[in-house]
Amino acid sequence: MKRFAALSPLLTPLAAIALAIALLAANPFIWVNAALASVFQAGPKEAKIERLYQDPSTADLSTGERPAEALASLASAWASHPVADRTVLIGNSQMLSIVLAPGESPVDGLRTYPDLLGEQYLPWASRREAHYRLAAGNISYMEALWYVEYLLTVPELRPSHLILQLNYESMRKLGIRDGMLGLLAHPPFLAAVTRIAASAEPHSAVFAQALARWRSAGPAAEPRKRKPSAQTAADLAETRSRAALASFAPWDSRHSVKREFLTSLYLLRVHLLRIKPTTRRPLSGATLTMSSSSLDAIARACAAHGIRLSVFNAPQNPATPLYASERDRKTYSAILDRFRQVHHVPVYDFENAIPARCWGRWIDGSDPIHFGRAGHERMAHLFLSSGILSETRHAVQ
Amino acid sequence: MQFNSYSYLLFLALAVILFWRLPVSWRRVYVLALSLLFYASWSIAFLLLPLSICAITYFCASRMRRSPQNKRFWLWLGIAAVLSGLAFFKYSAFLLQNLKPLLPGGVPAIAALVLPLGISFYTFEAVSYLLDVRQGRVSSTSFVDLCLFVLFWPHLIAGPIVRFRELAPQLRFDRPFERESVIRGLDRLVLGLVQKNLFANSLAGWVDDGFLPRVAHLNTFLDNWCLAAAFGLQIYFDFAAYSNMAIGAAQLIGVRLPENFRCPYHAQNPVEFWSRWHMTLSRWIRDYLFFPINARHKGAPLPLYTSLMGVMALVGLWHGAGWGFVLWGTLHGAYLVAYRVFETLQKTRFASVASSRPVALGWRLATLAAVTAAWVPFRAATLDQAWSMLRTMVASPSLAFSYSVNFYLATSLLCLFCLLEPYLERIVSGLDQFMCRHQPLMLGNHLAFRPLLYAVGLLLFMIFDDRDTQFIYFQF
Repeated sequence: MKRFAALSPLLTPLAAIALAIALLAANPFIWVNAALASVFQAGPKEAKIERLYQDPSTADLSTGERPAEALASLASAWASHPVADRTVLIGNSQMLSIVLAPGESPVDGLRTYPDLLGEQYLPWASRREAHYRLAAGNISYMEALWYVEYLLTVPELRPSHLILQLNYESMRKLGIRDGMLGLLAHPPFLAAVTRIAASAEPHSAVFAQALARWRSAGPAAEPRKRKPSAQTAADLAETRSRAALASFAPWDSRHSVKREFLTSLYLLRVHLLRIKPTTRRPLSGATLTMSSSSLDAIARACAAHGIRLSVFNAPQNPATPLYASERDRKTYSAILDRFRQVHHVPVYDFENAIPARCWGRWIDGSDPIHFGRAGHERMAHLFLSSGILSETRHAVQ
Repeated sequence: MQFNSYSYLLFLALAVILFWRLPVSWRRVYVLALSLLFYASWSIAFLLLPLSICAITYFCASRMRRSPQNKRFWLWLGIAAVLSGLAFFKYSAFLLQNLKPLLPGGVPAIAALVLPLGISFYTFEAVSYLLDVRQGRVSSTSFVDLCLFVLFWPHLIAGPIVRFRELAPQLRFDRPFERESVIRGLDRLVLGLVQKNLFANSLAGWVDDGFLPRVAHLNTFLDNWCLAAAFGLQIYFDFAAYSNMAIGAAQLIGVRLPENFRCPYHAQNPVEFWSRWHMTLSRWIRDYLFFPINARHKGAPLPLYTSLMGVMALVGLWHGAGWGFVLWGTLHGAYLVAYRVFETLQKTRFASVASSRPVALGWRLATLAAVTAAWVPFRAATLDQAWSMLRTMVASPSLAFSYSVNFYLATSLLCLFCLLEPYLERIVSGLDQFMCRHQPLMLGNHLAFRPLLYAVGLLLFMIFDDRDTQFIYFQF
């Protein structure tokens, strides 16, 4: 016992470290989520298709987490195979994910509507047309503007046609995610962001904040400005500690553990507090103003650079409308009308285009944003028949 | 090295193991060397500043001891010299910015100075040492003792602000190894890691978005109250995390640092809030500033209230060189004055009503609301922004909300955690004592219960790790 008493201060932390490694490796939140899903039985886990069709030449597969790499390879691809028309689609997770509707069976390699457009409906056009999807889950219109400004600063990436998805839910989103900050390593884009950050536009505060975050991230963020010799000893020690940890497999799994942990919290919110994705939300305040000003800036930028801009109002699940009140619906409609009138941009209204039976149902219940296989096919068809891609050239094959 | 970094945790583990392996006579030099290394890891150049402050303080204190008739002169010379560093690095830019309209050639280059880490903390410790020497509360000290007191790494960057007489006896490092002390140190360390990475950092992004300049005036009533509460929680968990990690690190080598927080949002009134929030700063201000100022007036109301307001404005200014901080301090001064007035009335006129439960509950809620509202100028980028947010919080009641529902939920969840904090502490401590009383359970405690708690804490620390997030109090 005496021996144990002497050793216990060392044994306790060692046992804790061993247990922490075991928890990292085992990821206990997977079990928690499975238990929550089976207890509440809202929908099948498999309804969210994990393995979709993926083509890095037509989509940013990092979904906004590392767009710098995706856009760099796109720039070299587009530079080596010049085409007459380049279409870029910008939107939220509706463009990049499939949640199966009841009755649909899970299959690997399913295509979302932008993929369907490229791969099934328009194969004949691929020689003189190129399209690319820049979608990210919960995208904000500040991020959409961020993308547009980036595309304008890289000549190889400058599109001839930009299709922007407008979405009630996205009007409530704010900020620039960390993964997109990497684009600032491109000096002309850094200059453009710096200019916007210094402007008096409402969204400029978000750009200034993103710029500050990127600069505070230090040497990794601004390699040109800070040489290794300018790093502090603390920076170097931390970089080396992390490099050593990176070779250790369980430490690398911390991102997936975090994802599952957050899913656990999310499911608890949905099932215990009954705050679901379908819960109605209001549209007001700073986020609304910044989203509107970002949309205006996108329209102005496209007009100034001769880029054709088309906008569509994204489909909403008719069974679960998100407008908290009639006033919110009118506010959103007014934004679309104003956009059409002020910027002379065609706005396609697809809000009620997907019938209720085509919408997804996952472990959190009915989905107000994502639809299933039939919904994506319908949407691809609609894209062509509505003329949003081009009023005259295309027809459904 | 940040306390919540992997390099620091490695540094700490090695430092503690080697500390207990060393002979007692070597430990002082060893801890001093570690402290210098810790500070130098940020900037070797800035190491000169705390060392110079130690040298000046030591010199002036020695002079005070040698020539008692000139004590006053050496005291003020020492204080002026020590504070001049703080004034130069922290306030010169602020001063010049405010004098800008009067300066014909624009603001000089001095405005772009980098603030040395921890300067506000070690400057106050040096001043307290000089005042203690002047009042005969500190006996003769060696230069190494003084350096150890000021530079002791756990409290060097952001406190707790210690007094020489409570730390000096422990800096002999002659305490025998105590298992329980090490375990308590680990408890505090892990708790701090979770408070920082999970609680404080989770709120940081939402708070940053909500306080964006130029658009904050568009926030609704509910947005602004939630943002103020979220920032209040963020800064509490951030600073409490740092304090816990500092106390924990010191405890690992057998040194007890004073507590800095005691469930501040449970305060019954504004006076109690300051005996629960940043307790070591409150104590410093009370003993070295407020009491000496008021000693002459013997509790006369007007000087008392004026000095309260003035001292609290200085507390605000200590936090940062900006008018928002001054306004925050002044608001707290006003709260303290209001409560003093109430106390006077309670004693003289409305004794029965004033001590009733509803009135006590009213004070408690009012204190919470007032403290929460005061965080707005502290966090806002400009006074205009603070004013517009405060105006909405008072004059435009509405339940409309603009941000992600997760923001309101996370804020509510952490409010609930704060509410339950003292009870959770009591439960964990009771469970711990119960296990300590029973030998077989103690084994389970040390090999299963505690490792499991630590493992969950470490897991949360790792998955919410963000290298780029600093402690808020580092900028003070």
